[in-house]
Amino acid sequence: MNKIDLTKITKPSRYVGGEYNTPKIKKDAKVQICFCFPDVYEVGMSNLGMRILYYMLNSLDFVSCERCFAPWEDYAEALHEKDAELCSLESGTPLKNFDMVAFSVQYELCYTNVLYMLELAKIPLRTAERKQGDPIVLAGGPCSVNLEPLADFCDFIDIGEGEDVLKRIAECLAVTKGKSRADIVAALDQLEGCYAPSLHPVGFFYETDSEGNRTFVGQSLPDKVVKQQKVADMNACFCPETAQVPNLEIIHDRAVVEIFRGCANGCRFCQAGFIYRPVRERTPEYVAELSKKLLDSTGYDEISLNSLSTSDYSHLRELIDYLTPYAEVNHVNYSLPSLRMDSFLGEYADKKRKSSLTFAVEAGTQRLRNVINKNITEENVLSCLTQAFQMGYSSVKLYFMLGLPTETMDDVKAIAELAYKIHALYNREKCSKKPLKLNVSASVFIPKPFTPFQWEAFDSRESVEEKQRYLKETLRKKGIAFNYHDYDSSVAETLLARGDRRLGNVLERVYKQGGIMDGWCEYFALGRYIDALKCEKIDINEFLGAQDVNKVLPWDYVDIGVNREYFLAEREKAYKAETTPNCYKQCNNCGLLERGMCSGKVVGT
Amino acid sequence: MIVLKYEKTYPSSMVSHIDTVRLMNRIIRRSGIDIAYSAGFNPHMEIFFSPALSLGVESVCEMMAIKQPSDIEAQTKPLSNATAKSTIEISSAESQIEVNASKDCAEEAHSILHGHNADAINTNTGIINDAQSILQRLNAVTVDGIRFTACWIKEKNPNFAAHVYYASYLFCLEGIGSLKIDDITKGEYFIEYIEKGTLIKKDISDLVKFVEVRDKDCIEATLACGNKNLKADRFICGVCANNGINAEGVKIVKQKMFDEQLNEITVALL
Ligand code: SF4
Repeated sequence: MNKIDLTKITKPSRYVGGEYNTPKIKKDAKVQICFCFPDVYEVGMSNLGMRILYYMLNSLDFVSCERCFAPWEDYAEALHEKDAELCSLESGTPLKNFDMVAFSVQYELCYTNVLYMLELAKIPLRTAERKQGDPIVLAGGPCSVNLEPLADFCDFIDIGEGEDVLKRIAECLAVTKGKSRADIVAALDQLEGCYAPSLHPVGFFYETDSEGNRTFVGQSLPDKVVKQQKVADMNACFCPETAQVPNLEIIHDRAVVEIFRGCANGCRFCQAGFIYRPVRERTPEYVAELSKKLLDSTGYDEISLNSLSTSDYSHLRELIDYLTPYAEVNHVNYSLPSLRMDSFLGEYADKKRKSSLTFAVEAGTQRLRNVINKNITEENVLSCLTQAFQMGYSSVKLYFMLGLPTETMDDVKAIAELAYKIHALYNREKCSKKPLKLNVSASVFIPKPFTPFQWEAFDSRESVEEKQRYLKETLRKKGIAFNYHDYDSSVAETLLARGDRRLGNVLERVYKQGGIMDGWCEYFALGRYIDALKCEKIDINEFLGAQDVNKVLPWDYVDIGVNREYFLAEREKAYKAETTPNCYKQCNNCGLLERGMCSGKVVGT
Repeated sequence: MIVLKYEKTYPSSMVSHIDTVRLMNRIIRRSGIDIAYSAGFNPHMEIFFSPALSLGVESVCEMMAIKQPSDIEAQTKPLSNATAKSTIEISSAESQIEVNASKDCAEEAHSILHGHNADAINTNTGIINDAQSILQRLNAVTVDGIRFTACWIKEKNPNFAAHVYYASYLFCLEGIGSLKIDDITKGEYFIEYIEKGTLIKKDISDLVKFVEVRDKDCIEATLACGNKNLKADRFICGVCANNGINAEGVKIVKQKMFDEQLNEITVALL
């Protein structure tokens, strides 16, 4: 336990633990694991995946699992001052004394925080520098489908959903306890869904011209195909019936139940839609039961029924019928995030609060929405809003993406036109005295691995800034608020999402130049990445530009179950603005069926 | 009203006041004790706290009050068995119920409704409203550092803000007993601190009622608390700085709260 004077630290309760429902920590358990979340407490504690796996590991009698979050800068400075190291929250044990530290990597801009936490814990940054007695460093989480940029820092990586594979990892650690580091890593590398990057090197090839200038031409893949792990049955897999209750307000400060995993829609830009296939539903009885247990045991007065696309849930009505009486008696609110506001509005819209309505329209024209396979029409939006305005709603949020493949200025203009139409509609239909609060947000499209758009170019700065400027000026005329995503951080996100193992050196340089908390705009500086790439003689356009379909991609060694041919075919359909129906309507043979990972219809319907 | 006295020690002493409000809400919900929710779109429980503690300061004498459903009933339902006079008062008070929970007429109605039985379990409904069970239930679901030490069922909102004027604290740190403290309460005494980036020099002599060395590692002081307030951590850091002592690591524990005449705040007084 380090002796930091917490009264001088911002939000000290981030660092003291003691949350209600913290499982008993078994200091004598054979396997000691520390879960590390490379972002601050409030972000990490909001993460459902980490909640599940923390309880799963602590449910095993031979395992004890504690937590650690990336500390804010003032705490890190205090650690340096005292020459102390980063410790776990529960027992204040230095991270370096654990058998394994496991990072849950949720988004690209937290990669530098992995290095930050390792260094604060006084664990050697690179696998190659670690010695006998240093903990085994694992990384997993949604980014695990391409963690090549972090490969040099991770002893091994587990790819996919953690419920089953983490149990096998813990068992393997128990069996290999006391063996040499090399033996332990080799044993972990044998587990399905796991791989130790150091045992599977990759090669990079260059061409040198007559003047000695080197250009990168391609890479070889690790000599192992790693199968992404998926839970088969969401009604049978491990799921905690309680949750820790943080003592300070966190980002999603409520109970959370997953109603199903996966998404049937196949939006072509969406990585989650492909890597979490197939859709696996939970029964409404089970969800209702879980919800009640969670609420009773935590004291939360709000529960979020989560999924990637809640309105697709086959048993939504039944679930709401189960939950409503309980919620009323117990003064509980339930929220249905990512509810598509089409046919459901009248029945399920929160009649009490008239909170704001959100539409992820993503693109301005029907043509471009067909390109990205986003199944929402202008008519859907307007008819739903007509109802909503008549009911008294006065606040609307619209989400779009700029820089999508095949996008032209016409598509961008259509965004403003839709916003204008909504503005006019409100003046016709409103029954509230309030002025319309219309908010248009535009992020920058990021071509992600394991999507039909994984080969697409990332839009240029000039082009994105022109589109942003157009929308800002046009929307301002009607007093419509416009928020847009910073181009710079999207550049770094694309670089890391499509990155290869050469970026390890880049990340280390970025970190050494002060790059931490890059997900926080006040900390992020693209300049650090640009400088580091320059030092490493890597051209950023290799990652931002369009990728040759015949070229090996850094993540091609990962098998998520969806065929490469399927992605290519979807890409061709996108260019022709042809849509693909969702998996509830028909199976499109993405590849999971032939591998026995999907029955060809949505489980649970 | 349920009035509770509780301790707030490490690690809960690191929880800010606003997060403590949230945390208490959840403890109360977990305990299953019967409490009132406000009407309206966003029903919430009504809790009232004694003056907020600074982050890091521990206490063995915090207090809070929670509205019970019977408090609301007493205010909203005209009483059939009450005298004509009180019935009229209640109806005239109805519109103010949301704003002011402690109108006298509502109290009167409550005592009529409950008579002397306010401390008993209502066996008909199974609702827990006796002090002992409430205390047990809360302590069964509390968090590290929060412990409920006393509970009373009161008829009116104790209105802590109107009663609390001073609080006594213990300050423990190796060698703190050597501080020169005699002059603090005698005439002007300045401490310096930084607030919102600016250095402030402040005469605190009339905010300190009493200060005494307990032993070589501990001093005790009674400071203004409430509307006029002297933060205990600011006080000790300032005094230590004046004596050239580093206050880092000082443990501060609030002991008692007092009214304007320095009577200890007890439930009888509220
Ligand atoms: S196999 Fe068919 S039903 Fe299953 S996820 Fe793929 S496309 Fe959808």
